[in-house]
Amino acid sequence: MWYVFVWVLAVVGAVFEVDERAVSREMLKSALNSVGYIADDALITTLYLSLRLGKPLLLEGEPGCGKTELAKSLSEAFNRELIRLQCYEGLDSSSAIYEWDYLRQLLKIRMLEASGSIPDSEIFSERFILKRPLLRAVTHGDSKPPVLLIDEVDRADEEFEGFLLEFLAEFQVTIPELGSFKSKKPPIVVITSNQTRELGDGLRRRCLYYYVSFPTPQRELEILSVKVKGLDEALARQIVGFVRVLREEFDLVKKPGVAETIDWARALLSLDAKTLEPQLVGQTLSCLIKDSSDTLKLDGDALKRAVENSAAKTS
Amino acid sequence: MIASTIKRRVVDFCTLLRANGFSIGMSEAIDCASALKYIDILDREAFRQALMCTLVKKADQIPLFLYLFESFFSNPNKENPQIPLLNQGTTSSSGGYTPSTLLQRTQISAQNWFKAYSPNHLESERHMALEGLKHRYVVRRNIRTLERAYPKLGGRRRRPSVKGEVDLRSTLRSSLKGSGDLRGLRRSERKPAKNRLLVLVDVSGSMNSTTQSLLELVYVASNATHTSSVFCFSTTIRRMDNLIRGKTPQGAARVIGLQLSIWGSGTRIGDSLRSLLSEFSRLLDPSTLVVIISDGWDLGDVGGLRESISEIRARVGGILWFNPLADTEGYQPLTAGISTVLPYLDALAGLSCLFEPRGVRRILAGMRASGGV
Ligand SMILES: Nc1ncnc2c1ncn2[C@@H]1O[C@H](COP(=O)(O)OP(=O)(O)O)[C@@H](O)[C@H]1O
Ligand SMILES: [Mg+2]
Repeated sequence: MWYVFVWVLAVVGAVFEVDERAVSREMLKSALNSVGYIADDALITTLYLSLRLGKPLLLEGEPGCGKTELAKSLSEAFNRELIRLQCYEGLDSSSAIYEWDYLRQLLKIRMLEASGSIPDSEIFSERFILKRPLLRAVTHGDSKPPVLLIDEVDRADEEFEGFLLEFLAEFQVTIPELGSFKSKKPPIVVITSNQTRELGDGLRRRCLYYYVSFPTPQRELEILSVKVKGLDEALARQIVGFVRVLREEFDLVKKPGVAETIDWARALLSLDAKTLEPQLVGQTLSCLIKDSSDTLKLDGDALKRAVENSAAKTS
Repeated sequence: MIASTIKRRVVDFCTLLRANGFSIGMSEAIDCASALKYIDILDREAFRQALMCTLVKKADQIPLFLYLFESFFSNPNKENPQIPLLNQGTTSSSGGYTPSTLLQRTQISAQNWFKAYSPNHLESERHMALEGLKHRYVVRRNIRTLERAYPKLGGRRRRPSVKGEVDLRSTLRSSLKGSGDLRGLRRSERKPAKNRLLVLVDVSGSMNSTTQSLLELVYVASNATHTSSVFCFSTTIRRMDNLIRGKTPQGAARVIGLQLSIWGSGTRIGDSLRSLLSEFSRLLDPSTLVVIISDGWDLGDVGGLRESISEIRARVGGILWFNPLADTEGYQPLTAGISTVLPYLDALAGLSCLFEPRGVRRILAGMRASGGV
């Protein structure tokens, strides 16, 4: 018995401790599967190439289809630190790269003054820097580079995209008072965008590009089976079929993503549902539909038709 | 061997993408070349994805990329109509398709794929033989139909006809033949003139899959009529009809074989048309019908192509273009080459029309119905 255990340990160890730039596509796929991320082969190939070439991966596509999740899963699968930079309007370099810790600098100055010495270069040392994600990503000092997730970059303004470009070119941060910081091994960079704004060509140039669309029914079933334990197979099929009908046949403002499918499946599971019935669907629809104008498009009749439609398609 | 062939193909493919509006700079090309080192290039899916993630940087470019990829790296013949159909996408997203549905639709067997890789691959397979051609008769009929496609100009000769205008000369002659009195008015009409045909056949690498049919066509077109001139072109243009007219099929095959150097290379339609204009300018007049057989994969520059085709258009009676790719259902003339010439064409049709009984007649009828000719 024990040697089986040792063998399993060895295999698991081989997967997790390996240099992420040297894994094969199959290993990458199984590593991601092992942490519950189900990816298309095309995505695996792109990710694999981005690791091999050391280029950032730019993921664009529908919200809720696993862009952010990919970076998280990657860090988990390879046991790397995840450094996340969530972008928003008005994001500037002081919250993305670094900031001087004025408060502590001030305290230090007070202390130095009290002891009679002159505050000088001492207060401009690394100790007084608040490291923001981008700086942290290049000062990890570890042999295992972290995963840097730059999330929803389309929300930040173009000016910030400029900073980012500079950063991605060299994986280096320069602080005028201290000099340049650069890590031996560049971080694994994943950039996501929900396409609310067209990204600049410069940024696109730097990255390998992948468009994340809604998964195929097959793939979505797999995701459900991994994410929602104890869900009946037949019900899962109905769920996937219905969500597909919603995505394809209704002109929704916000189409339900995988995240919504999972939420809904969980809700149905907790209600102990056996099959989809219009009434039940109506009650739980808020899991799938997040926009008030979309709710209007799915009134009683339309909903009933959609349920029947999807039932016909899945059977 | 494979590596260098593929590198060349990929470079050509980048040129094609650029011509179609993709901005591919040095860095993309380098990324692409390095990406190919890490994947098994015989794995078609991986190969396509490697090109796609390094060369395509915008979601809305994906469908066009896939279209161009499938067309460029596959055998575009009737047996394998795997060119993605742009106009048949599901209605799932606002654009009418999602890139992933297109992806799923573009599966090609590994074998065909490999064939399509290498422009040299077919060289050994190419039988320069013309025997056993089932369709030769059909092709000849079709060529003859083309000859009379544009009856705009009446000929000088006349023929008797019930509906035609009164023919005094003939009436007089017939009355003199008899007793001398007028027995009835004779009518006649002008015989429609034949068009002078100028057949231009693309024999570049991308047309490899149709080699056999093209050979047939060159042979038949050279011999079906004595007014037609037949040219083969790829990067340069070569006149063929006077070399093979009157020869046996075997003899013709040998002659064509000797011209092999221009078979299977890249295409520069613009340059070829330009040398046609300068060297064979006397063949171009209003009674000429130009028939071009090509897939329109042009690696030359689009401006030159537009210039020469518009000049030809101005001098001849009409231009018909037969494209093997157009045989595929859902074909759209999207590539830069075809979309450039499209405004100058009287019709764009599938190559198979020339090999089907009454194929040309059908095309012409279609054109008349839509107000052409
Ligand atoms: N391929 C997938 N495999 C596993 N879970 C997925 C997958 N795609 C999406 N999910 C689920 O959907 C949720 C939302 O994904 P997320 O990455 O936040 O979407 P996005 O960043 O694209 O808007 C995740 O929490 C995850 O549980
Ligand atoms: Mg996200």
